[in-house]
Formats: sequence, structure tokens, C-alpha cells
Amino acid sequence: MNHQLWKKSPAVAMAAVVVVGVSALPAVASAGEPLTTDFIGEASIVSHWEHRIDDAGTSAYAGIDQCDELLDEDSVFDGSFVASETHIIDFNDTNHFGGAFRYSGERGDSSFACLAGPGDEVDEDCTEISDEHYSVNEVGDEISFNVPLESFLDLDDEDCEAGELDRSYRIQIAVRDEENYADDRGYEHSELRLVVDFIRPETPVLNDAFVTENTISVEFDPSESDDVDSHAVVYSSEEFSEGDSIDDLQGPDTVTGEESGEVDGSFSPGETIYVGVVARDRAGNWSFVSAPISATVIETDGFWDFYVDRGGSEQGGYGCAAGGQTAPAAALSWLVVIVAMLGLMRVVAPGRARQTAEVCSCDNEARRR
Amino acid sequence: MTSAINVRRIAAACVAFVAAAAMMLGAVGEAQANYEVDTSGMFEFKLGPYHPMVDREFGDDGPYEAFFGNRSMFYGEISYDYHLWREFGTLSVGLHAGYGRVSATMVDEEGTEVDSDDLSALRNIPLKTSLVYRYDYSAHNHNIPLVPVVKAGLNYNFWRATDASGDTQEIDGQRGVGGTAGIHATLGLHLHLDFFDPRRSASMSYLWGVQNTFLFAEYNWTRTDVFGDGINLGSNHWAAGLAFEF
Repeated sequence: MNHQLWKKSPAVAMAAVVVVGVSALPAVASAGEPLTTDFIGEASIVSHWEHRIDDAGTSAYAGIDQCDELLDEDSVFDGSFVASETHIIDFNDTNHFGGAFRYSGERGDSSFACLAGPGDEVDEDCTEISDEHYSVNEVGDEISFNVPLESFLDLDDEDCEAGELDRSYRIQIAVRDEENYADDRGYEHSELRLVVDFIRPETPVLNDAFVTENTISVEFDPSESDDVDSHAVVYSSEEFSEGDSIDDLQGPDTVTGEESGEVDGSFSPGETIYVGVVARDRAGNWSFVSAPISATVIETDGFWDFYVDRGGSEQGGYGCAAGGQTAPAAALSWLVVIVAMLGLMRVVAPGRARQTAEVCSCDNEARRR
Repeated sequence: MTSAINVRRIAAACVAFVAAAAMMLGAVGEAQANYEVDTSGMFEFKLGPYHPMVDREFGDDGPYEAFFGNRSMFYGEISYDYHLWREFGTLSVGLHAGYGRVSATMVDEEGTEVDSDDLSALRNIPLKTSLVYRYDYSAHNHNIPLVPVVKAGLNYNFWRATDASGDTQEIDGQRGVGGTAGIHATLGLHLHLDFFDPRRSASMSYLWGVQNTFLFAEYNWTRTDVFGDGINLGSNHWAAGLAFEF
């Protein structure tokens, strides 16, 4: 590669936020979210591996399970920026396009402008992306990136094993409005973000569990981590302990409630089930299992239990009735066939019905006269 | 009892609605819409409560009321009638397919509803064939926008009782699924909507081939215990809907 090796510690990147970011940040930026500008109509990440991409398509999340892929020398981070229809930008024109950069920082605070305005130096925490890793299409309104993760992230096996890394990596472009590029107006920026998160969320606390033949109901205190995406129930007929991995347990089955919920299952009445809850963050990392609660499966009755218990005559099945008479069913079948044939005749000879109706109509007219 | 009251209220509402619409005749006396007889069939859809007579074979302590309480099924039905004969009214043969479902929370051994969303449901899916007679002679010849309708025929009701996971319940080898045959009859009153808006009627005819459009209410009488024992999915119920003749 012919560009300088990029590497910054999170602490340095934080400092850069304060020094560079304050005056250059567009108003649309919120802490941590990728910068956006009206000049860019679409910014999107191309998924090649098992990272999760948010609804906006501008943030990808990689967790512990993706560690091997992140370390793979062939892995890349792909994405593109497309100019909006109302702002035609020629990315080949240096008056419009101020450069493509990448940088990293602690998650949540790392947005800043790599290139603030015309004539300004590129911020030292940003690295310009070499031509070989981005391309502009022929029309000049789209830039595509293909950045090797090996140089982008600079991770090693220890980062994966330590489980302490939680950082965002960004690709940023700087663009100016066509009508104003000649003056001193600054650049606006659009970003794509890759969040690498190897920290498990805090373990939630299970307060109550209730198990029927078909359902596990739980009440819990949610995980205290900021980036929790969902909670899930794990269970087993074998006893397990707080902090165990979820790999040996049934589930995880996601619950929709924030502090309670239900998941489906199939259990035998009287059986003892051990239930726990786990949290999952946006990178897909599961927390360790909460302290389990044991619950005895409660037998439940539905309508059919009530019917059978009361000695109902119905035995089930598709006879005419429990008595097993078949003549009415046969008659019904013939009626269905006849009606179906009439319908078929209408499809085959659509004009015939019309003619018949016209005759009726004429007859009625004649009768009226 | 509450269910019966509800049915009566709905019935009263349906009748009142049709009656009110009929009273509008005076206000739209200038309206003149042709009742089209150049038609070959009719499509209907209708909705209404359906309270099956499951408990009839049990006396006071029936399983339906014990489990579902006073709830009725929410029932819908579509049908297609093929006109066979048209002289003094119209005689048709019809095929109908309906769907009704009622559910309630499952209970524990003490009969108390469990503190979860475990629902047990009963589904009723009747297929019917009917002979249908519509007295539309006066609608066509005397410009009266009301068409009485009588239907009668055979039905086969598929049914299924499910547990909280949606699976068919099975108790001691008895599976809660099956079908039972029966008979039905219907008495209805159709209000010819084209009478009130001839311009839209012409548009419907031109665009969709719909010659006559009706708003209707009807009383349905269904029995499934006439051919033998079994779960009784018969019902007396009201329904209302729309019908399109083409």
C-alpha cells in the first residue's frame, strides 16, 4: 500500500474531537452518529461478512463473534456515497471534493471534520484514503470504497481475547456546494461507521419466572449497558449457574418487553425448568447469563380439555359427524362438484350466460309493455 | 345472557340501518336507477358475531361458556352465487366459505387464568352450498330498491381447537380437529345502492362490470347436529355485508 499506515489511540482521537470538531461540525451531527449532509443523498455500507448494519445503512457493528473475520487479511470495509439529486457534485473536481479520510475514536464522541475548510490542513488524526481504495464513477456523482480492515482497524489477537475494545472507525468525505465552492465556505461531511465492540453488555437480573406447558414468562431488571439492543430468555432442564455461557442452554429467545416478556416452548407439566435472561448489544454480543430461577411447569387447560373433560360426544376427525354417517357428506360433495362445473362452464363459454340474461331482459321488457 | 343481548343489539342495529336506508327513499324520490338483470352471478362478503351452540349437548355446564364465557366468534364469510334462472326473481346456486375464531386465556388446575398470554382458540371454517332465491322482480320493474333473499342448503364445518402454541389440542388420544356436516337457512334484505347513486352505479358497471351493488343484513340459522352427534357448531346469528352482482 502506498499510503501511510493509519493508527491512532482512542485518547488522541478524543483530543482531536475537542480541538478540531467544535467549529467544524455541521448542525446535523449528534454525538457518535455518522455525520450527514444534504449534499449526499445516499451513504451505504456493503455487507460482506456477518456484521450488523443499522436501519440507516451508515453504521455497521462487529462483535466478539466477528473477531476472526476482522482479523482476516482479506476482509474489507465496503461502502459508497452518492450525491443527492438536488446537489450535483463532481467528486473528480477538487473544488467540490475535499478528500476522503478515515479515522477512529472512542465510540460516542468521535465525530469531527477531517478537513474543515479550503486551505486548512487535514486533521492529524485523519488519514487520507489513497486512490487505490476508492473510485469515482464515470458520471462523478458516486464514490465507492474498499478499505482493507487489516490497515483500517489495526487489531490483533490480543484485542479479541481481552474483550476490552469498544471503538468506532469511520470513513468520511468532504464536499462543498457547487454554488459556493469559490468562496471560503467550509466543507460538509458525510460518514460511514464501523463499530467494533468486544465488550459484553452488563448481565440483567432475573426477578421472576413462570413456566406453563407452552410459555416461559419472565420479569427482569434490564442490563445497565447503554448499547443493549434486546433481552432474551435462556433455559434448561439441567441446573446452571450465573455467568455461564449461553452455548449449552436452550434459547436465547428474544423477548419484546423492556422489563418482562414471554417466549414459546414445549414443556411437560411438573417438570422443573431453570430459566435465565441475557442481554444483547447492537454488535451482537451476548451478556453472561443471569442467576437462574427454577420453575415448575404448570399444567394448563384449553377449550378442548374442557370439552373432553365434560364428556363431549365429539371424537375428532373428518366424518360427517361423530356418528359416522356419510350420505349427507357425499351429497354435499356432489353439490360442490356441480357448482364447480357450472362455474367452469361460465369460464369456458362466457357469452352464453350473457345471452340468457339478455333474453330474460327482453322478456321482462315485453311483459312490461 | 350478555352474548344474547349483544346479538339482539347487533340485530337491531342492522334492521334499523336497513330501515333507515329505506326511509331515505322519500328523500331521493327523483333518483332513477335501472336494476340491471343482465347478470350471471353475485359475489358477497359479510361479517358478524357467531356464537356456536357447543353447549347445547351439555345442559347447564357447557365447555364453551365455561372456557370462553360470553364471547362470540368474530365471523366473516365470502360467497359466490351463480344464477340459474331469472323470471319472477332470481334463482341461484351458491358456494360460501367462512371463518370464525374465538379465544381465551388458558387456565390452571384451579380454573384460574394463568398470568401469561397462553391462549386456547376454537376455529370454525364452514363451507356451504345453497340454493338462493332473490325477489328482485320489484326492484327491476317497480323501482323498489329492496330485495328480499332466502338461502338454504348444506354445510360442512371444519373446526379446530388449539393450544397456546397454535397446535391442535390432543387429550387422551382425542385430537381437537375435524369436521361436521349440517344444514343452514338464511333470510336477508338487500338494499340496492345503485338506486341512490346512479352515476356511480354506471361507473362501477363500466369499470368493473358490477351491474348492481347491495348493502345487506341477514339472519342465519345453522345446525350441525341433524346428521348425528358431535361438536355442535350450529348458530343463530346476524350478519351484514356488501354484495356485487355482475
